Amino acid sequence: MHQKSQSRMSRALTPLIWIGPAVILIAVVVIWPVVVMIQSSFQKISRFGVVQGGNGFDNYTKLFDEPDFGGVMFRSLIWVVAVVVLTVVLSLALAQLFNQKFPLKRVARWALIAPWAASVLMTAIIFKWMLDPEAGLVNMILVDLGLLDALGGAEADPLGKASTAMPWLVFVAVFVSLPFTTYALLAGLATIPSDVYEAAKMDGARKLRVYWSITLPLLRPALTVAALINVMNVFNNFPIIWAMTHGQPGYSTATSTIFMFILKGTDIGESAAMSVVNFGMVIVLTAVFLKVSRWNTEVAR
Amino acid sequence: MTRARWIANVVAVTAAAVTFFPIYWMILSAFKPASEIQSLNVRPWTFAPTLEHFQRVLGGENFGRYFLNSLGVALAVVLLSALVAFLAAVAVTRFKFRMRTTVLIMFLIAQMVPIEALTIPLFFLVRDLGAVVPGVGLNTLGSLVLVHLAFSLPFAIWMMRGFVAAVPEALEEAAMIDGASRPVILWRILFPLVAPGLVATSVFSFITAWNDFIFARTFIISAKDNQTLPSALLVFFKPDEMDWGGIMAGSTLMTIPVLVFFIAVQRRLIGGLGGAVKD
Repeated sequence: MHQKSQSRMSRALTPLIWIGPAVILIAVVVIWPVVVMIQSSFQKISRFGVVQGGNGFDNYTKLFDEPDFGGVMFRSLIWVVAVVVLTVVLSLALAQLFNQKFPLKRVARWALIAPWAASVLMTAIIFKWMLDPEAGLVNMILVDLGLLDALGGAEADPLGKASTAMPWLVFVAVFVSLPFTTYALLAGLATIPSDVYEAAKMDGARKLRVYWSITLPLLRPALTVAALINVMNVFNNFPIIWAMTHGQPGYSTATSTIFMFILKGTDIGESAAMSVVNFGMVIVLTAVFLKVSRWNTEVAR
Repeated sequence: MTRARWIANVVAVTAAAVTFFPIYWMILSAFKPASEIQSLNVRPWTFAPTLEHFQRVLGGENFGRYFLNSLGVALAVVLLSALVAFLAAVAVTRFKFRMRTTVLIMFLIAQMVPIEALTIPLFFLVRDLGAVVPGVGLNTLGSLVLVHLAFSLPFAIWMMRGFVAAVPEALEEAAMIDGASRPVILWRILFPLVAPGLVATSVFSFITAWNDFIFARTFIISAKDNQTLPSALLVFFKPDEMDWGGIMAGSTLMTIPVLVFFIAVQRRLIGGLGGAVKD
């Protein structure tokens, strides 16, 4: 009896000992600051960070009344959908290409992984440099090709115009997300046994059909994980937009994280409210995504 | 048929060339003489490679020290993260306990936090922790290790779960019948089997710690000796005129070790990601 209760006790304690370090670290260093962030979204805070008492929902009302708020939220949604969809579609194609044998394959794979190794901030800075109106490589090529009249000036400043700045930001975000996504999908492809394909070949199935009804469904777990990680990373991405446009011109490229950072300079409480809204939106997006992808499982069955 | 394949291969090689281009441009610019960088007639090659930018980067501002600091922080994060995540992954896959779901949801939510939003609370947290444990306070490398470790854990645990789940439990039961203790089973049997997964998680934790800019700027305020690499790059950003040669040489020095590491583990990485995405 005594021994039994002791063993039950140790049974209950063992997982705690193993998971304890992780739980404590995450609770103290990640969750606690989130709690503080939520707390300060309900406080009146001076520009120098001094808490001046409670503020009810005033920070939120102020935030929702910002003329740019609606645009910022809408843009964040477009940003995450555009970047993730383009990344996934391109990565599916790249993974398929890189799964074949071809000369130079080894070197090509190294090249493909390179943007992952480089810092996202540095990559964004390099792209900004290449798009510089005076000294940018892209403009010089355009001038050489006769597509651009002269260097300098508004025409040569793709990041200075709302209509071209956002597409370039999406391009860079897709660019830095491709290596991981492609590698995750390559990993998914590697888990598909080759006899599945042989059977399909015997049945005389066409290539596109094989891909659609065999490869893609088997790739689904890898696809779900890769897309989910991208949704979270892209939504919270800060360095790309900050380094390239600071959310300008006129907030036209500001997503919620950028807006939050800009607000931090004027009103810390309102900035915290923006963080909370931002955080809520990621959770909702993730939940929707998980729901949709599970719904797909049911359909596939 | 062969023609379609030929086209596919050309597309693949072109795509690889495009993805590599910015890195190529970075390395090239690091070797270009200043006059060529400023020239309005850019060429994607140079006939007069120079080491002047590298000399400037390596000569000034404690670059070697910063490099070692970055390396130390990143390696500490990789090792600790692998260890803690492995234990936690075993706990959530091998045990049923109360609050298990809560803990899993907490891990998932922790993965979604935008770090830029937390710099102020984290600053105060690190300051207060430093009063209790001096090794992880402001201006210490320990603070960077601690914070990166915590932020790397959710993803690492999530990845490791798949690997631990893939190991048949019968294997551990057999060892237990043979009289092996829990720790022995853990280290002798389970650990080697999930090692490929650790490669993938290590890649992630290494790269975020190595390239980190925001935490280093938040916690290391006055201790010059405890700066990390990205801060060393900052001296080349001047509002009036950017020192592109210096920036590119610095970031080349920062990127090459990671690139070498990536290429070295590349094959394992595919296996490593595979286990995590297999359901």
